[in-house]
Amino acid sequence: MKKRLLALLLGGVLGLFALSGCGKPDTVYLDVFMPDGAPALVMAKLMHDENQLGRENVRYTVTAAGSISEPVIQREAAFVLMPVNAATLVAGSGEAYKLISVNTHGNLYIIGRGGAATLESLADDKASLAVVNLSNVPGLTLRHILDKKGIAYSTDGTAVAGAAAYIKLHGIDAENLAGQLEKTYDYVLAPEPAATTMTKKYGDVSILMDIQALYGGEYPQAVLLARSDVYEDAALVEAMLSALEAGEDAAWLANHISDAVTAVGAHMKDGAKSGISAGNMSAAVIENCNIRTLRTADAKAGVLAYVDRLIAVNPKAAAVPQDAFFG
Amino acid sequence: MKRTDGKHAEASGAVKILFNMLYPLITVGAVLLVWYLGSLAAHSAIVLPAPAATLERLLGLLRAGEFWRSFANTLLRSLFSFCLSFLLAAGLGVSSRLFGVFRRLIEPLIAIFRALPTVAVILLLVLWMSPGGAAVAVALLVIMPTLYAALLSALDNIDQPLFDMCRVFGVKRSRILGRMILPMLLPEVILTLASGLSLNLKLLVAAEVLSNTAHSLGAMMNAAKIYFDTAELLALTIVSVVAAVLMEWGIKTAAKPLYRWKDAGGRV
Repeated sequence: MKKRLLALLLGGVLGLFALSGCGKPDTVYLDVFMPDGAPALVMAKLMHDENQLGRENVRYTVTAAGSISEPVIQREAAFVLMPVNAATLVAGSGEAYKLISVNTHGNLYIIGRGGAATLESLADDKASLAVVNLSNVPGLTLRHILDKKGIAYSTDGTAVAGAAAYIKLHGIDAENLAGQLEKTYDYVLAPEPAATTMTKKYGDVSILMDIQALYGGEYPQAVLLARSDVYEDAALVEAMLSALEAGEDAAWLANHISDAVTAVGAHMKDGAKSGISAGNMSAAVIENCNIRTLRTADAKAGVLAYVDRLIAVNPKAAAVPQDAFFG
Repeated sequence: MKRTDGKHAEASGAVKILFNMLYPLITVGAVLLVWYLGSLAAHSAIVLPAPAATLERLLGLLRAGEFWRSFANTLLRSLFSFCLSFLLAAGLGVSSRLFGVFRRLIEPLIAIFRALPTVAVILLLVLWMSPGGAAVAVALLVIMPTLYAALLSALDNIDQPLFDMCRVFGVKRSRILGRMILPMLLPEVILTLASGLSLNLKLLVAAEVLSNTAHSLGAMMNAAKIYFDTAELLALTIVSVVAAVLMEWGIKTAAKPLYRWKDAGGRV
């Protein structure tokens, strides 16, 4: 009797497990990823409106800057906004992802103490310059500028042997920015909005140099990729590009700072805290972020030229993308 | 008869050596096979490159001057931090063994050091020190408590009656130290040195990655990660593992003659 009862009980439990597999299939989402910072502002209005791009299952996620490549490598992202050099390294073949637009065009500034300065004056003083993300777009762009100007520099914070004038570059993480500025460095290359945040935090720190002006104009910093299967849906891609072109109206961002900040914060992955806050945002900062959607047809030449320059600085830092990469 | 015994002994010795080599080779072969199958399943050189691609990258690294410079820097930092840790642990251990009050005062500090989260410590040290100094300091803070505990345990295990006997027979302190204490401590110390040095290297490399120490294995790994060069990252990992294993094996092998007396029946 006991054995029969046990058998019935076990059978019931097994049956429950078997039936648990039945039911409604999980919803398939169209995931849109972007890193925290200026790229997140690109999609702020879309996130504020929860724009579904004519579908019902679009999901927006803001990740930490260092984690943006993971959803691309895992093919999780339907759309992803990411640094141009990382995009060429993980998706440059064009097999898994296509570039559909360039969305930020340079937001790097050198901040520091001591009043007006130039790269030449920093070199004459053999100054130390901390660079947020020395190995990536910020550091590579700066090194291209220094190479173009013929200014010697080191990337490990040491003196340059045999040079009368040089700049000592030190790599720092964005998370350490405040601490490094307070204790160690008088000059830092940082992206907006972090640059303005530091000038507000430290009264003696101001924006000294515009990297975009030193570069000679804009450069494609963050690009939007569409997964190949998503790219086949022309209507969806057009819906995304059109929404971005409408949402980046500077007037919307400047007049809805609080809404933009709230939208970005609400979409941070795993409830993490965004580096963007109402306190560090203003119309001037938004303008400094240089947000504008430029479609592939108009952006391709600029991307190729910029990638060539990055490769000239460090051959490992980017890859020449195939034609198939450009949607 | 003797000749047959001799040949039989030689043959069994050779077979033993062969099997000693064979088992590790089988294990390594199995790991490589799983790795290869995994790379096929991943179908992405960024997620998991094939063993052949990693080997090619490893050979490329071995030909690069920057690699050897970084490797030497990391090894030197590792040895330096370990020596500091060992000297500090030995001093604190002996003091704790001799003075009970000192032991009670120091142990809460040791417990705190042991419990410190490594990443948090690195982030703080990078603000206070240079990246190279921060990496050394982290290794010291993590390894020293481990060495202290092992050395103190070895000291505690020396029988007190032996000291009493030496005192009764008027044995000189130098003889007690050189003929009794050190030989008794040596096996434990050697084991602690071997495993501690290997662990120290691993910790130092991790600290170098987090503090972005220039011209180091950690910095090379960080760059490989940033540029999605997984083959290079794996190659550098293999270098670290081989270096750690060789250091551990090298110390144990070199130190064997020092405590051969144990096998000879424990006669001093």
